[in-house]
Amino acid sequence: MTPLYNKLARFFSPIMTRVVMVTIYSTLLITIVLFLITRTQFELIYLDLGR
Amino acid sequence: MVWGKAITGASVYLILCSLLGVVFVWTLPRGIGLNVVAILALISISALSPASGLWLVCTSLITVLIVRHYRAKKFRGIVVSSYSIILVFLLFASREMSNLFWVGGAYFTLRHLHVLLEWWMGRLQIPTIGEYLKYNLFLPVLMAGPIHRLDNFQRQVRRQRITAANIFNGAERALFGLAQAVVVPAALVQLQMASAAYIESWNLFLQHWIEGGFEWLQLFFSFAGLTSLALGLSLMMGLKIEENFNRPWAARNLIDFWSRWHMTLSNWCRDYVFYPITAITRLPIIGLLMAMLAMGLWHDSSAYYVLWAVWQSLGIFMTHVALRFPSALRSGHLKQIIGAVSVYLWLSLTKPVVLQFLDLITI
Repeated sequence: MTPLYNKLARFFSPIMTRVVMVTIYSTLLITIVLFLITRTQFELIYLDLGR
Repeated sequence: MVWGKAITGASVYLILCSLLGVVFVWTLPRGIGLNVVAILALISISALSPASGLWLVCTSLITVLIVRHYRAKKFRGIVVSSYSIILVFLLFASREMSNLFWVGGAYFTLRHLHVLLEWWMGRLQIPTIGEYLKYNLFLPVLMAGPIHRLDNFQRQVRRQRITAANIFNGAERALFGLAQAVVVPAALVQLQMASAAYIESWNLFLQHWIEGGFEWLQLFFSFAGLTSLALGLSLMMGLKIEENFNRPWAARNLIDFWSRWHMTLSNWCRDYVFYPITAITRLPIIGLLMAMLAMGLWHDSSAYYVLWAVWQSLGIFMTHVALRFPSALRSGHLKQIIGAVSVYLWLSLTKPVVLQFLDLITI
């Protein structure tokens, strides 16, 4: 398991630890996508997707 | 003119599709999950770029039909070389059609060539059509590689394990990769823009040198981030795909750097370009030049990348020559630092030197 999981497992039951982990991951994903990617970058048509 | 990678709306769309694929792999029975991921990959890539979806499926089917049904040993070389030329031609032609949006061609073309060449050399465990489509339509690696190998992928599919440890480790790696690809290159762009005003009055060569230095760092953080994202998503599906970067900035010299940077591409060029050409010509320098040329043209078919390949080959050749002389440095750390700095200087010099040379020959 990951260091974060091991830390959280000290305070929560195994099921709750997993719920908290999924909540943290989702929050981070939404934060990165919504707030860290600039609008100009998001709307780029051309990108190097292994063209 | 360094090739660029960025997280955009299209890449976010493919990341979300991959996450949906992860859910399918978790919830569906083991044999079905990855098949559904392949179907999902085909739908998502076709929605984004219909031409790429068609190109990917047609070339995958032709490749797998060749390796499965062409039994005769006679003319096998002619079949492989003619079809390889067609694949490379399609890749170059797609770059000329800039009115169409392309996804993943550079990666899946190399995967097809890998399978064809392994088959030609008699080292391929022949895949079924389903296995081959699953390999080529593996969603997490469609965006930015790695150029994973068929044998490793098949082994991983046989050993696929959906465990909580794999899911959490994969999720953390994917999130770290996404953050790395988004945050660091953006900060470097800001820094580059701030420095641009300051160096405006400098000599053009120096300006390009500084730009080159920034671009290599931006490329590393965005590309390594995208690779981590792909490897993390793959791990969430229970598969361990080949690594692409092994701390390249800790390289002791340029030879070491190219064995740590974009490793799946370097290994591809080593196995299918460097070794065969060196074996035929008995001249490693020709093999090296051709391998770097293949690497350069894979990025972009332009004069810039031809000269880029010559510059990198020259650096590797000079490193080989320098390594023949005993080093005056005894300290391991100092040697390491000098090695890493010299590699970075050589790489950042690529842009000004190549542009200067292009200017000279076009006048």
